[in-house]
Amino acid sequence: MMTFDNNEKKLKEELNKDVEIPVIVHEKINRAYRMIEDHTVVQKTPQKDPYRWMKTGAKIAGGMAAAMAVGFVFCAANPVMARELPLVGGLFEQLQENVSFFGNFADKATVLEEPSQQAADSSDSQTAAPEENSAPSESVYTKTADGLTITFSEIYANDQAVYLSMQAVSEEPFPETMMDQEDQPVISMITDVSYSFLEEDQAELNPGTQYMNPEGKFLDDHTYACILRLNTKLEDTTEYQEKYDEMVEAVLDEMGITHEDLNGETEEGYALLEEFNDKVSAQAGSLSSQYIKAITVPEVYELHLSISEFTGTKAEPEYWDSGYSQEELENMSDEEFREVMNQVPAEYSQHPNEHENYWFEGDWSFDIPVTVDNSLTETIEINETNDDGIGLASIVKTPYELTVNPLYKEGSDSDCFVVALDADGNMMPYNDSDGSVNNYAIQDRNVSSIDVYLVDYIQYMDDLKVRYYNEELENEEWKALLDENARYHKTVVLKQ
Amino acid sequence: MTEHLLRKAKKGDADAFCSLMDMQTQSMYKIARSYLKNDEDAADAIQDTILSCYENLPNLKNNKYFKTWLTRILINKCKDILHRKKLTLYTDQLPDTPFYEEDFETSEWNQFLAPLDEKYRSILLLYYMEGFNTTDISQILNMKESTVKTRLQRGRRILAQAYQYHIKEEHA
Repeated sequence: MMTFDNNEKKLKEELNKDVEIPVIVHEKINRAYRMIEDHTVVQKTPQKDPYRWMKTGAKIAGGMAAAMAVGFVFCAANPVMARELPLVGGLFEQLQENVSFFGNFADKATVLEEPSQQAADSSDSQTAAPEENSAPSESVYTKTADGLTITFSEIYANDQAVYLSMQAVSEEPFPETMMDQEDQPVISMITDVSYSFLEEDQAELNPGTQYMNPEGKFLDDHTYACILRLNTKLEDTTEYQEKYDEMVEAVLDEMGITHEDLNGETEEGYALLEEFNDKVSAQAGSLSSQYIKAITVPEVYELHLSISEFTGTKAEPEYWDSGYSQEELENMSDEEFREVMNQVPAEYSQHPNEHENYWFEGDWSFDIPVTVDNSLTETIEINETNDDGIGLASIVKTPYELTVNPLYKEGSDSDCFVVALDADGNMMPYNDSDGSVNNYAIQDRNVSSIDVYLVDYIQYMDDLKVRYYNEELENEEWKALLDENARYHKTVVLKQ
Repeated sequence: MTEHLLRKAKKGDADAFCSLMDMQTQSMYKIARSYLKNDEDAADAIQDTILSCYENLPNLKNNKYFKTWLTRILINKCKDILHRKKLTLYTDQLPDTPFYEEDFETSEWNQFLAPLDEKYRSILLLYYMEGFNTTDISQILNMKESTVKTRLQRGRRILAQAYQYHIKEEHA
């Protein structure tokens, strides 16, 4: 008969046995990784409330809470939008100064015309309510669900991205919405994106499900409008992934260790881990340069875009009040802090939740024909590396964005961060709708030339960037600091 | 091991974050399956957890709470899926039967936990597999520590009894 101690040991042994992870779990994990690596999902900036992380998670009584927040029940029972839809044509013109990648879209975009506008009008006239201001709730580019009508009206595309103007009209007025640091309403959407040119064995390269934080504004209490930017700079990373895995194994072999030896809890394990990470980070860049293959975007294709959730953050969200001040919380012992955290109600641990959000759920699906215009895309092939084997592959400039592609030769140390300065020495601004740190918004910057620096990753993060922001360095001082420390520097002249 | 990766991941290093998540795959899968009865739902919960974790990592104040934080997010995602399923089942008037998958149900690991009800299963997993203490578990599961201790003790007894019985049967 087992003793109690034996039983404890047995429990530990049995529960810690590895199980076979099913393929579908690996697939979903890989999909999440792709969304992270593609910068489809980006890290949020730290909140002022340091315990907000305790409030993220699943949602409670979703439908019910949503109904309370935005009056879904009423909307669902009322199939015809009682409100007149604003004119959607010309949205680019209204929005193009409000996005991080601002520029003149209106003079390059084309209007998405309903394929059979007359037939649709005829059908609407038979079924719609008799009010003069009623608008069609369903068409190729207009879909209604949950009291929210979403319409796409204009498009511009090149081989780097597709830009669409979108408006969302709510039957009930939108609640007051929080504005972010860039003075944009905090709106997010769960979307599913696929491109017709990625079929069969390439289908898995589609962006798939992704969270989008569109850039836009409220036109009135019922209408939100934005410019959606969808990335079409797609890459096949299959071969890269194989080589990366091989490289990791080779590093372990070279060090004469296994994954189990990389143990940060011990001094020896931590040292091994540091060495391992340094070796892997150093080699990953050259593999990326060699084995990641760009996908060619055809001149004409179809974009499938489904939206399943539209969520806003309330202007004055209700956070759980622990009864302690922030200072008191920060000064608590671990035990005291845990005791307080034990009291966080479950309904605050979910996203979206009725205390912080309002949201709409449904199926807004669109098939949108895309014609690519590359006439304004300039690709400058550089393909140069320095004695350390690091350098620049190319720079791609579109009317609105600039992408820097570094190059790492085999054997080089690729643990670098890219910094780009415009012709006036200003840091190039990031494109908030892309998330890639190598993709910049041109805005109204002088990009007759740009300075590209590759800087040691850790040095940049822990030292240079900190000095730039903390010491509020002038452009000349910043450039001098980069000149002094960069591992690679190149000034590239661009056409105007 | 996680500390260094966490530091890099918090700075937006996707590779470090993915390595961190790779280290959690076994435990995330086991915990997800202790709540959810099919691999597809478990995969969805894990995917959502990874994305949510990545998005919110810079807000994690103290790295030593990482495991607790991650597990709490995962369990909330699992509960969210369960909640949605229950709503669907109720609406569609379908029988409330779980969607068991043969491979997992017959696996040695799951067979070991078979005698346990779900309410004991998750607590034993967190205690014996994840190494959380009862205070951690009470925080993760939002329940009183005294309840955690009671269920831990009861779950332990159930398994002990089950295995004594099982061993006797094998020898019979």
